[in-house]
Amino acid sequence: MNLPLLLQFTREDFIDRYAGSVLGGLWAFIHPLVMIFIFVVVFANVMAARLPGLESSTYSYGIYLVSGLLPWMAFANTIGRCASVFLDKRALIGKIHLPLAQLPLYVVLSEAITFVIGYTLFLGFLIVTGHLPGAAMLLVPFLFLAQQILALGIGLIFAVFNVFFRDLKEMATLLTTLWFWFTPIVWVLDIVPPLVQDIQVHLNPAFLFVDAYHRVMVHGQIPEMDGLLRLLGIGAFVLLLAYGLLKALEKDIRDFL
Amino acid sequence: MIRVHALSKRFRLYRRPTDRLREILLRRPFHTPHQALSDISFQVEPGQSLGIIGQNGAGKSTLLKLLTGVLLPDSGGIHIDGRITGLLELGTGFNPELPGLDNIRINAALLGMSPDEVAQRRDAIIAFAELGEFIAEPVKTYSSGMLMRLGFAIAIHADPACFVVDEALSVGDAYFQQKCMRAIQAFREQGGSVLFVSHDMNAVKTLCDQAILLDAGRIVDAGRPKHVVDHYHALLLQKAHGGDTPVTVHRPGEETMDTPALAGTGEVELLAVRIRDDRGQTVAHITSEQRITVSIHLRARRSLDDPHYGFGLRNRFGQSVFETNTSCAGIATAPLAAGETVVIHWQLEANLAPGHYAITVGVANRAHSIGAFDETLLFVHDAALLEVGLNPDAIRYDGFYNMRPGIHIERPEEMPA
Repeated sequence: MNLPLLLQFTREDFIDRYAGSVLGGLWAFIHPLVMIFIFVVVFANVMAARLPGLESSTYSYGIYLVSGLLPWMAFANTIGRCASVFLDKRALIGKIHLPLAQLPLYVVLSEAITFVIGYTLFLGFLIVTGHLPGAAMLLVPFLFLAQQILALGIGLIFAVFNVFFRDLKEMATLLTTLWFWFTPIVWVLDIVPPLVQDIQVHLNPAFLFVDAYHRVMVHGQIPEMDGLLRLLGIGAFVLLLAYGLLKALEKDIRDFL
Repeated sequence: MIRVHALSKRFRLYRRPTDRLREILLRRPFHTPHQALSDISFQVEPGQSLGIIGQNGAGKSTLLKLLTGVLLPDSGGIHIDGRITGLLELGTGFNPELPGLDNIRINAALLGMSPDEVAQRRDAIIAFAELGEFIAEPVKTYSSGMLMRLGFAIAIHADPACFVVDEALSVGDAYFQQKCMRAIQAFREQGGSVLFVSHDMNAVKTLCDQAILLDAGRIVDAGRPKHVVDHYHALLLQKAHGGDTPVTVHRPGEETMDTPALAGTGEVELLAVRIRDDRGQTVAHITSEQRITVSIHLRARRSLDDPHYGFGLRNRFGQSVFETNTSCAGIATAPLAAGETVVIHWQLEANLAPGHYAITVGVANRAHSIGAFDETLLFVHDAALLEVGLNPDAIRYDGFYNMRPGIHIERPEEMPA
């Protein structure tokens, strides 16, 4: 698929989706802004939540929450939207030649834009409240890339089977919801038993990137590199597997759509 | 240039999509196969047009989908040097909320045009579509004809190597259809290949250089459009009989017109067709404007309770110039007993443009409405040939026939305001 077409789909996702609405593309900013407001202000001030084990300011739990939540939303939305991408675009796939393997890239691109918008607003908040972390922040794009490779791989596997088994789209949503609560995004790793901590470190690929965001954004540290390399390895493996599956079943997918 | 070699496509029909998954998991078949296309080969040279005809379900759409890459073939090869566009993508990807201008950008990107190409051709597309101020309105306000105008304008400007024309063209008004035809003609002259998929047999005969006839996924006939179309009609006749009576199709050689293309059940026999002038002389060559009588001699091999007889005349392109039958003409007919013969005399005024014509003869039984019959028993194209020469006493004219104009020129006293 050529670049203009990819940009075209992304644009459709962003601007054209709001065609006919008054605020238009501004809605892409309003949603994350409201979310940041709710989590930071409500959790910090109303519920007075504090991070345990950290001499923390009013906002540190809110920062902890948002720094993990924004990437998670990109991750989960990428999986969920990739899962139904062939069915969503079936009218087009049935009319013109679209390379199926590259089609979900527009979801990744569009989620990346949402993420950039969200994180920019978040950084603005950090500057205003004086919580801006150090140079470790420059690693965020790399973290995002690593997590999205995995998300695309998982999403593509769901996408392939979703053509034959529509319930998978719902299952993908269910899976990401369970996974969300299983991963320390809302809660903090220290509060669970050591066994669960070990499971997180060794068996939960989402923990690898969520933890990295926490280290960077909350503590201003450089994340553990071998964890990130492991994440990249898993992501590459899953993506290759997904690609192989797609190639093997492409004829059937096209026949079914 | 399009080259298609030994193309086959088999669909696997599943009762539920999940059956495909069960198949993968259990390694047992859960489908009924449907061979949509078998061993299709053809070639379309640059500047040529190929007609693809066949009944619904014969495989035309599957073939187009394989050509456009929407479906993947089981075996065989497709080679197209360049882009293939057409009306089949009519309005594909149009966002109804957005104005026509933005949809040009969207649709063109889907057809594979780069932003530069779109910018270059944007004005040409707008000018071609002739939508006026509507180009700036959301396409949800468009009629289907207007959508077709925009879709066609984009598709023909997408610089394709091959252009597919199908029934969607008929949504346009007569003016725009003519404009499309001229654009397609210009496209061919620049070396583009055209695929023409239609049920309009006259259009196939006039617009195509070659034609293929698909039936149940196979090419059953290929060659000159006129002959392939005759074969198609014969096939329809056979289907109308539920396939219980064998239909013989005799195809004349590619260049000669002297053996009739015959399709029939054999239950009615065409004995002779005679053309006579007003003095009763048998003729094969007449001059324009002459009165003639065409006598069709038939014998019924079984009894027909409500027989009707048809007559038609086609020009050398195979286009129907005139056709009617006794049912359409409101003539009462008597039943025929088995073995009985009958002669139908058609008295005609041959005010036809000079040229070669062929007579078509038909016999059917039981009219259930005007011009529609329960059974068609005989259908013979080129049953007899008629050459019409120039009549030096008549006016000179071009076209199909002499409308015998009354011409009156007036010089008004005052200029109208």
